[in-house]
This record gives sequence, C-alpha cells and structure tokens, in this order.
Amino acid sequence: MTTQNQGIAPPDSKSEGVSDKPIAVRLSEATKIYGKIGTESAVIAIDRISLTVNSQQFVSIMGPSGSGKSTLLHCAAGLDSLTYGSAFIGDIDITRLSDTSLTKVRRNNIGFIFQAFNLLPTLTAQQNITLPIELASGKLDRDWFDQLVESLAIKDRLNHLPSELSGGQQQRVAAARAMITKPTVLFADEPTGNLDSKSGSQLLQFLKYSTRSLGQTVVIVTHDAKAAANADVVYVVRDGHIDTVVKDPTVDQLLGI
Amino acid sequence: MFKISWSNLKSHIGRLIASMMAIALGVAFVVGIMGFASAIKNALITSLASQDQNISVIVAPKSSGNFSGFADRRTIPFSTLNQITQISGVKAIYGQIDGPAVILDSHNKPFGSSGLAVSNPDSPLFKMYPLVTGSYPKTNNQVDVDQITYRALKLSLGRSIRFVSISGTPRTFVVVGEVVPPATRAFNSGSFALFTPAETKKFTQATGYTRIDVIANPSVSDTSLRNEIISKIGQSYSVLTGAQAVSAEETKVISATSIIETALLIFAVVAIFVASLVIVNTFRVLVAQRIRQLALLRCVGASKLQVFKLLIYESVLVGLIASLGGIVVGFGLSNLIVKIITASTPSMSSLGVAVTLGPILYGLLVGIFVTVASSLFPIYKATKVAPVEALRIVGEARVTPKTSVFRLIVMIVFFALGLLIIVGGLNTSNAALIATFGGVFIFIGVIVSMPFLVKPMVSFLSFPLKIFGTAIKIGKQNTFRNRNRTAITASALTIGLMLVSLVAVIFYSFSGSVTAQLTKDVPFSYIVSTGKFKTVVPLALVNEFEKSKYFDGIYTESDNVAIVKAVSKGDYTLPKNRFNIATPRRPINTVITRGISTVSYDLFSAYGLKAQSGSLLSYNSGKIIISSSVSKAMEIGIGGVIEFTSETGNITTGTVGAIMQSQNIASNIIVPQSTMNALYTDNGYNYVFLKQSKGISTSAVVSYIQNKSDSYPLVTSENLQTFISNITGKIAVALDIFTALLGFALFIAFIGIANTLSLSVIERTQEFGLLKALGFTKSQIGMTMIFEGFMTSLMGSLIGIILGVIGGYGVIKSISSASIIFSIPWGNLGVYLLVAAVAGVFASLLPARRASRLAPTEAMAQIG
Ligand SMILES: Nc1ncnc2c1ncn2[C@@H]1O[C@H](COP(=O)(O)OP(=O)(O)OP(=O)(O)O)[C@@H](O)[C@H]1O
Ligand SMILES: [Mg+2]
Repeated sequence: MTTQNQGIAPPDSKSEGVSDKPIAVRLSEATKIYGKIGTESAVIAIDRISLTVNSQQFVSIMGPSGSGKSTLLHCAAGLDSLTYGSAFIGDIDITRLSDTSLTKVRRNNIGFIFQAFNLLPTLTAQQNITLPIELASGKLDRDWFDQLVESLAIKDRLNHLPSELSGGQQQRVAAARAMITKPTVLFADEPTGNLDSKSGSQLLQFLKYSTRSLGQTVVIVTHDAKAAANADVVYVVRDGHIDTVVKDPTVDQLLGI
Repeated sequence: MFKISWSNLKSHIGRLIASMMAIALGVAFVVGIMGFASAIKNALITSLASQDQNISVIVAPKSSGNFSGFADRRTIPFSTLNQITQISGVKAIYGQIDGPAVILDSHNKPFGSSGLAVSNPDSPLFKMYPLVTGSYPKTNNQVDVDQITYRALKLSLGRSIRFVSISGTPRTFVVVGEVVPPATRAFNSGSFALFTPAETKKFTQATGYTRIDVIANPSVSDTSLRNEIISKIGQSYSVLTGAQAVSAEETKVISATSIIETALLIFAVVAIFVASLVIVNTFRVLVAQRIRQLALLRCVGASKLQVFKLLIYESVLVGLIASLGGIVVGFGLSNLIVKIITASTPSMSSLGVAVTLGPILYGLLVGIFVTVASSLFPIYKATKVAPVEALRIVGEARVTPKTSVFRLIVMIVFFALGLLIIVGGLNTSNAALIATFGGVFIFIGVIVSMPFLVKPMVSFLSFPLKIFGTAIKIGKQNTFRNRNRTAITASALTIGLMLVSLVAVIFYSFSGSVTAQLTKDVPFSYIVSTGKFKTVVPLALVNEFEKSKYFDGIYTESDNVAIVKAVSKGDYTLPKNRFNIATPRRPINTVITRGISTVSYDLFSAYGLKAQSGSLLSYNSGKIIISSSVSKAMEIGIGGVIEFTSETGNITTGTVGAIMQSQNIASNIIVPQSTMNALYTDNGYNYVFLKQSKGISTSAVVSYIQNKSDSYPLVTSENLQTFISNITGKIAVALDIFTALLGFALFIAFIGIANTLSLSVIERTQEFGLLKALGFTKSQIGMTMIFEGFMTSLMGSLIGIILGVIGGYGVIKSISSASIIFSIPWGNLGVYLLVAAVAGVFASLLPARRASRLAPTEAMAQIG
C-alpha cells in the first residue's frame, strides 16, 4: 500500500474513527467470490476490504476496470450479498438481514443511481421520483420534493416519460429519486458514465452540494479523475484490494494514480 | 402499486391483445353455452307455466324414474275421466290424448322429423294452444296446425292436408286453424296438430289419456280438489295441483337442459385450458422482457410481495378486460343462435337470451381465475429476481434454460404412474376407466416432455427445408433458443388435435367395423324401415312380403327400451381383483331387440355377435341373450332372471340363455319375440331385413318393394350399400360436430402461435436490426418467423395425432373384445396435419410482416 501525502492514513476503520460525525457505512473484511468457491471458475471480486464512510462525507471509489468497484458498491448497498465479512449501514448489519428487512433498509436507508436504466419507462418523472415513498406507503414531504426538483432543475420536466428526457435529465431524476427518502447514504455507480461533460458536472455539483448543504452521505464509483476530485476521500481499488486512499484529493493527484 | 400496474398494462396492451382474445374466446364459449341453455330453459318453463296456467289439478301416470332415453308412455284409462267428472268441485276437465301423426307435403313426402297429434280441449277454459287464425276443429275431418308448420307448408284455411296415422296409411283432413305450439316446437322440427278428441283417439289408436287436466269451481281450493280426486281414483297416479305440476315440470326441464349444458361445457373447458397455455406463455415472455425493470424496483425498495402484487394486478386486469369482452361476445352469439332458431316462429320472436347475473359472474370468475392461475408461476418466478439483475443484464432476450432435471423427473414420474395404473387395472371390471385415468397421466408426461422433443423433432422435420438456406437455419436456432416457450405453444395444439384424432380413430374404426360386418356373408339384401321417423313398418306390409315369391328370407327387428332389474343372479360370480370398484345394484335402462320366428346363426354373425358363454341359439327356445357388459353391470349370469319394464308400463321376465361378447353395434340385450310381445304391442317392426330369392332380377325386386311401400309414405327401403352408407354417414356427421366443438380450442391454439411469435419479434428487435445490417432481406427475415410458426404447429399437431391414435387404440381395445376393428383414418389425419401446418403459416404471417418491416436503425436504437 502506497501513501500519497500527509492526509493519507491506512484504510483502517479504527484509525479513521477520529471524526466526530457518526458512521454511515462500514465494511469489515468484506469478501465477495463469484462462482463456486474452490473451483477454477471462482473469481474473488473483492478481498477482505474494510472501510468506513462517515456521515455527510463524499467518497469516491476509483480503479481500473474489473478491479471490483461495482462489486464493492453493490455489497455495501445491500444489492448483493457478501461471501465473507460484514457490511453496515449506520449501525445495521445488512449481511444478517432477511429479505424483508433488507428490503426495508433499501427503501429507507439507501439511495442508488446507476449508470443507465434508472427509471421505469412507463412512469413519468414525478412518478419515478416518488416511487420509493409509494413502495413504503409513506407520506411525501412536499417541501423536500420541491427543493430537490428545484436544485436539480427538472421542475418543468416532471410530467414527461423517461423516453422524453435527455440523458442528463434522466440521471438527475434518478438522483432526486435516490434522495427523496432522505437515505442514510446515496450510492452511485458511474452516474456520469453516459453523460457529456457538462451534464456530468451538473450532476456532480449537485451531489457535492447535497453533502455540503443537505447533509447527504454520498459514495460514488467513477473513472473520471475530475469527478473523483469532488470527494472528501478517494479509495483506489486494485485487484479487489484497497490500494490507495487519498484525502482531499486534487485532479492532478488522481491523474497520477 | 395498482397505479404502476395500470400504467404498465397501458404501455404494452398490444402485447396482451392475443392473450386477451384467447381468454375472451374461452369465456365467450362458456357464457354462450350458459346463455343458450338458459334461453331454452326459460322458454320451456314459460311455456309449461302458461300451459298449466289456471289449471287446478293435473293427473298423470306415475313416472318410473329418470333413465336416459326412456320415455314413460303409460296412460290413464279412459274410464278414469268419468270418475273424476263425477266430483262436484270439477268445473271443467280435459283428457289429453296424443300420438304420432306425420304430415305429408304436396309431393306426398313426410314433413319434418316427426309429427304429434293432440286432442283439442273442448272447453274454452283451457287455453294452452291459443289460436293465431281460424277456429278449433269441430268435426272429425278438421284439424289445426302449428304456426311453424303452417307457414313452412304455406297452408291456408280450408286447404286439405294428409296425415299418416299409426297404421302407416294416410288420411285427408281440412285445415281450419293455425295455433301457437308449445315452446318445444321451436327446438325440434316435428309438427304439431290439434284434432277433435274422438278423432285423436281413433287416429292414434290411443288406449288412454296422457294426462287429465281439471279446473276447479271457484269455491273449491286446488288442494282440496286434489285430495278428493286422490280418494276417488286411488294412489296409482300422480295427482298434483297446478302449482305443484309447474314446479315439478320445471325441475325436469332444468335437469334435462343442464345435461346438455354440461356436455357442451366440457368442450368449453378444453378451450379454456388451451387459452390458459397462451396466458402462461405471454406472462413468461412479459416477465422476461421486464426483468430489469422488476430488478430496478427491488433496488428502489420494492419487496418481493410488492413485485408479486404489481404483476398479479396486471394479470387480474387482463383477466377482467378479457372476460368482459368474452361475456359480451358470448351473449351476442347465443342470442344470435336463438334468434335464428326461433326466426320461423313469429309468436316466439320475443324469445331471446336474457342477460342474467349468473353467466356474467361465471364468465368473470372463469376468465379472471384462469388468467391469474396461469400467470401465477411465471409471476412467482419473477419475484425471485435479484436486485443486481438490474445492473447485469445486457440484452433482453436471454437464451435460456438447458433441460432441467426437475422436468425430467416429473416426466418420468408421470410416465411411470400412468403405466402402473394401466397395468394394475388390466383384467379388472373397470379396466377401461382405469386405463383412461392412466392415459391422462401419460398424456401429461408427454406434454411435460415436449421441451425435450423440440430439438430432435424440429431438426428432423425441417430437414427437407434446408434448401431454403440461411433463413431456415436462423429460424431453427430461434425455435430452439427457448424450448419451453416453443413447447408450451405447441402443446396447446397437441391437446386439441389429440382429442380430435382420438375421436376420429374411434369413429372411423367403428364405421369401418360396421361396414366390414355387414358386407361379410349377410343373409339379407334389403332393409325396410321408417327411417328418421322411428315408427314401425306396419304388420300388413310385412305379411305381404312374407307371402311374396321375391324373398326367401325375412328377419324383423324391433328396437325398444326397457328398464331391467336382476331378479336372480344365475351362475354369476364376482371377479376377484384388486381394483374392483363396486357396481351399482340399481335398475338400468337398456335397449332390447327382438327377431321374428327363429333366428339363424347367420344373422348373429352378420351383427358380429359371438357367444362368450352359453349358446346364442338358445334364443330360439325363448331365452334371452345379454352382452358381457350387461352381465357385469347387473351381476347376472346364465340362468339368471331379468325383469323388464316397458315404457308403456308392462312388466315381464326372461331367463338368460347366453352371454355375448361385449360390442356396441347391436343392442345389449336381445329378447325373443314372446318376451317382446309381453312388453310392447307395436303393430309392426322397426326394421325388416329381406333376402332376395334366387333367380329373380334385382330391378324386379326393387320395383316390387317400391310398389308395395307406396301406400305407406313413411316406409323407406334401402339396399345394403345405402344402409351402410347411412350408418357411416351419421357417424361422419357426429365426428364433424365433435370437431367443430373442438374447433374453438384449436382456434385459440393458433392465436397462441401468433401470440408467441409476435412477442418474440418484440424481443428480437435488435437482432433483426443486426441481421438487416448484415444484409438479410425482408423476405428472409419474414421467412425465419414463418418457419418457426410452421414448425411449432407441425410439431404440436404431429404429437397430438400420434397420441390420439395411440389413445384411440387403447379405447377400442378396452371397449370391445372382438367386434370393433382398430383402423387408422389416414385421410382424416392427413387433412388435420395439413390444415394445422397451413394454419401455422397463417398464424405467423402478421408477426413475420412486422419483423420484416423493422428498419435497421430503429431496431438498433431500441435498447432497454
Ligand atoms: N456475476 C458475476 N459472475 C462472475 N464474475 C463476476 C460477476 N460480476 C463481476 N464479476 C467479476 O468480478 C470482478 C469485479 O467486477 P466489477 O464489476 O466489480 O468490476 P468494476 O471494477 O466495476 O469494473 P468496471 O470499471 O469495468 O465496471 C471482475 O473480474 C468481474 O469479471
Ligand atoms: Mg463497474
């Protein structure tokens, strides 16, 4: 493991724990093996990764293709199960939950933005945004909704179907959907991967704004050094391990990795 | 959740139209049958009620119970009427006399399928047959004719008209009126005529009244008059008040119509089952196409239950919309049929199918239940989608499952169980029933195994099509890529064709055997009968034949029904085997026949009768012959005594002299003339078989028979060839009706093919775009789809036909030990296969057109 500058500490949760903010995400010895263990076809996608994300932090995950970034994110977000180790959202151990409880966690504590196909094609933008609330049979916080669509600049597109929106607008609708429940943490896997640089930076600006002003915790996977530079901390993953941790990164620093 | 379902449904309603049509057709069939049956039922009940209206008491012979085909023809002696008339509370009385009276048209040909003469109630208080025009008959040569016949024969008041009486000879009457017939007239083609009571009695040679209707004085209640009548005439008749009679008649009508209804509903069940296969496929495809969306919902926090609900709501909506459509179509169709049937009767034009809650609820229930039940499994599987699927799946069309072990096990279990049941049931008294049960298991086994058959069968069948090149190769791969889907689509056809071929094999073997038996050393060359009128060839005519030099052999036969009951068992012993299901020890209703004078062995062999035990010729010494199935059903053997009760109420007994091998061509009990005479006093025989004398020319014989029969308009004569072809013709008609009723199911199966293919087109949009980009022509792309439809249809029908033939073989072997020869109707089966193949091509034309019209760019753009 290489260290990059004075701000860098080992990716150990205990030595990270100096922050006064509560912990939003914690992985401990997280290991994911695809395929049958012990056979030729088994792939160790992530290998004993431990890390902690504090509340209101903006964390980026970078690394070469196939290094295990998406796997890491999916396991942390409870979309996929770990083979070994455990994953916490707040203080809930999501590796030990039944499908029903896990569904509740997904509903209330986690927001997710994918690279594409974020929206149900038959629902309008507004219906897509409020979908999680509906699934939870909850009550929509109208002010929060207005605030989100305002700051994402999608207010006048609310009654359109996804097919009638631009890629950037679709991703911003997805962001609003991910944040409508005020989740403990928002995960995004290459959310700007399909966007041009202008739309991409609009979305990133929002995500950054959400951590600074709305108190949101955000974890994103990205290939783009400029995007990653918005983060408070960047984890660089290589071959299923955390290779480097960069605090308060600059673009130049990240390009050098 | 419901909102999402609704918006989903709206967005791809196009993909569901075929499935909705399938379900709607099934529901329409059910509702149509129910509506039709209730229209008939209501018409009959209304008419009965109006006939018995204002009648206080009805006296009728006591019924012997409900046996199918057994009509109580007992009457009330004429003297009973006088006894009742003496009671002081009686205001008016009507003794109904009736009997056969067939009308001859202007060409001297019998009109309709039958004719009924009824005595006109003299008192105007009885209003059961209202006049349309003219007046009631007052003298013995006057007659009123029912409205339908009146119009059909273009009659007018004062016209002469000829009726054939029970003796077989015609008489002339004058038409003086046109009456409204009973409602039953609308549903059969028999005529109805009113004569004066004296003339009816004479003309029909009736020995009593069919019923006696009494109207009470206003001061006397129906019930007290009824009691008085009972104390006067005793307990040997059924005496009911008008109200009681109406409700008793209603019960009879309801049970009679519900039998027809149930029989028709069996075909509806097959149709609905086939429709349910279409639904299964549609939902499998819809779910597969939306797997990413479902996974996305899971990511966003939808629980498994919510995903389940989302899809179930959708399926309920589909079922609801389809059922509503089906209900409308069903009522419309049945109303149309009733209107066509009653079109000739102006007085019945008000008759129509009432839109009642019953069929509506039934239709909704069946439609929604079947839709939901068939979509349940695909939906349940969809709930298992993992959230990460939303991120993984690239293309929508996944090339899916290899042969599953589970399927293999299910298949083997069904085959094994089926075989076990059949083998276990062999040699038991219920072998046929048990074998049918086993056959159903094996059938299910085959249906389950169909995905395994797709590849080998399609490869084999498509071998000759190879010359068409790449398009066929791609089409073949497409057929294989989702074997379960191809198999389900094909199995819908398999079911329909299995049933059609099964029945075709049975009917064909049956008529083949009739032909074979009747052409093999038959001791007669002409058959004289009254054809469809099913009355008798008069004795006078038979006597003339007997005296003539043209014939050196005459056999006669009467077909009559009787209720039989075992009085003693004879040498019968219960067979000992494991699966012996107890047989009911109740009287059974059966057909009996008789011959005149002595019967030679020739006649028995002509009928294909073979003795199982005893001697068939014991018949000549007054013994009766029963079939082995009657022996089993009645638990009676040689030496046993059977008691017969005729329709006219006569009772006699007979001793069993022989048991013949079970066969279904001739009657199941044969009694000698003496026994028959004790039961029925017909003035003739149903059939007279004549053997031409040697040395006399055929043309002379034919003209002799013609000449002699001329004075008996109902009598017809046939030579052996026409006799045989009439029998086989009737069998062919029955087969056609059966096929037509199954046609609904077959039609739905073809909708299923079109459905599967169009869903596949949507799924393969990108691929077709790619193929086009690679240089495939429009027609080549269309060809891949047509090939798939053609192959699915060919495969499904081929398996169905093979199963039908095997099943038919089993049925024939089990119902007859000897006399029915199994034969395969190659012609019919070939036509079925051809029609199915062509229909398969037709079903794929629309999807093929859609596929070939996709522009490459559009195809490539459609992602997600
Ligand atoms: N379902 C799966 N089955 C088997 N192996 C898998 C599966 N999903 C991912 N892998 C493997 O696990 C490893 C990590 O994959 P992952 O998708 O996490 O990489 P990534 O860092 O997100 O790459 P990229 O930047 O290309 O998205 C890869 O070697 C990949 O091939
Ligand atoms: Mg990735």
